[in-house]
Amino acid sequence: MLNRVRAMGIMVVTLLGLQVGCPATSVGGVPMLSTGAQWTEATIPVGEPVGIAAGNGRLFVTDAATKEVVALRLDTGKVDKRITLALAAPKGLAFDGTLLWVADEKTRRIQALSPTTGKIVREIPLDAPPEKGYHSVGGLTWDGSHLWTAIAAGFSSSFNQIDSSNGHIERSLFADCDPRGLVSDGSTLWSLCFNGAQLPASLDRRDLTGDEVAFQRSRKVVGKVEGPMPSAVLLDGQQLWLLRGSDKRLTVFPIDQTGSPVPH
Amino acid sequence: MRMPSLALRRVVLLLLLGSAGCCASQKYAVLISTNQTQFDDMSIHSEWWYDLVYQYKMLHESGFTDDRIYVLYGDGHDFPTTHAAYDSQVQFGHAITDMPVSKANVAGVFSLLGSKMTKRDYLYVWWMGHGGGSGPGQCDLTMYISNTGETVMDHELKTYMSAAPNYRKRSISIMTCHSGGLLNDFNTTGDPTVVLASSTCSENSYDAPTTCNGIVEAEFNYTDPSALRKKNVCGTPVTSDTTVDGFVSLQEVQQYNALSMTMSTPQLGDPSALAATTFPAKSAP
Repeated sequence: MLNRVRAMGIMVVTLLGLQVGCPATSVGGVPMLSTGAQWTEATIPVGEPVGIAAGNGRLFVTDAATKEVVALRLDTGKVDKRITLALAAPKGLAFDGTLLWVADEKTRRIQALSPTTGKIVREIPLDAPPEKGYHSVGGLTWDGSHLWTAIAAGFSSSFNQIDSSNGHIERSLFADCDPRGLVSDGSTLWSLCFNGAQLPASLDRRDLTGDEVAFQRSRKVVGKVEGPMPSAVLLDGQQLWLLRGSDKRLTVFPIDQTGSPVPH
Repeated sequence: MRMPSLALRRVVLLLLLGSAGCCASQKYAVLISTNQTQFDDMSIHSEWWYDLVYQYKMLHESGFTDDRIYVLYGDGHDFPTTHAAYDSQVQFGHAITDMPVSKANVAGVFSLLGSKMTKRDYLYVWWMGHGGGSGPGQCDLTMYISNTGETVMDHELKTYMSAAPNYRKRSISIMTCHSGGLLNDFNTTGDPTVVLASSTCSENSYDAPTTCNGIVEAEFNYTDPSALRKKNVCGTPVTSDTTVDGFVSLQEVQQYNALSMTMSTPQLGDPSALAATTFPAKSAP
């Protein structure tokens, strides 16, 4: 896994340059990065990455340090746009094909922004199930038709399917994990789980099509993530991408059709 | 005065021993972990098993016998951990799970104890799982049996436990979010029941930020049995016996929890002021 580390400057160009001319794939109707890339690692030029999404030929990254969403062109690797956020503590990022969704874990709201103009199109509350509680945002994702939040709250940490028109929670599942990122294609949910300072983080997958007991029993560990804790995860259909906040590195985590890790 | 004959003295001694055997107080325990571990070394997951084993170990060392410790866990089978310290076969030489965790089995185990316990006995109950808070102050506690999708309300647990009405003392240690919600259900003066909870009604409960062996445990489930054992899971002594009388009371457990825990606020429910004089490791706690 992750055995092809290259120099960061060259790597960014290589990573993004590989996307030229590749047809976009989609998961659940959401444009994703094309697959088939031969690279496995790149460095993203942001201060404190805390969310990642992709689509429309762009890689979007939430930068908590500058309170911006940074858009990088996939064909050139260059920063295309910086969208200033009117948020106190931005966290997470999702792209629904039209709008970017970013949470504010301090003021407990989620804003939907135009990726081209940066204009705030909608704002909804960042709710947590009242019986479960809230500590921080673990991530955002769009599954093709719904927005999801990961809420970190100790043993009551949760994954929540959100009505993006009003922020209401339509479905809540115990995370059984300290979530630091989630992605979903509508039928499967992958979560990035922090296992404390003494153990590696883990990536797992669970089936969303059954009830909560089935969801938990379907859990498979995709892999362990050695080294610094990633701060965000992205799904491109056949691969999971992990973004580490400590060194801004984006690394690939290939998976097969069953969601199992692929030797790299 | 003339001494009784040796034979007579032996008869009297046997009668006394027989009397003690038939009517001695016993210690019972019910350990309930309401989920099922599938993987080692995963936070907010592996603890369902690890914390259960640590509780069992503490009880074992405190003089509870295997046949009086009832374990409800997962689907009824021990988790095959790779960590020897949490492997029941390695630690105890046998499996420890008696039955799957379900609402029916929670009710059933207390009914079973109703037929076994006497008014001289002590009952130790430990519950671990997800908890939800609702109602005023979030003090209405819902306990989730994640293995089955069922829930048990705080007042329901009290009702289930009332099926074992004969006891001298009881204690309940509970590790769930919002577990402080259990205190008011047992807050009846004269009821010899002590409740130790991992958090207030409004708080969540968390993992221990670090552990001596690097293995994940819920913070309360890491400190609580360590206090009773007077040593942590690695065997390093801890200063929970503040009165230095050789035994740790439930009051001392609460003090140790309060000093050691940083993620949530441990609670003590002690309506009959028994915590300071209840020592689970004593033969008659």
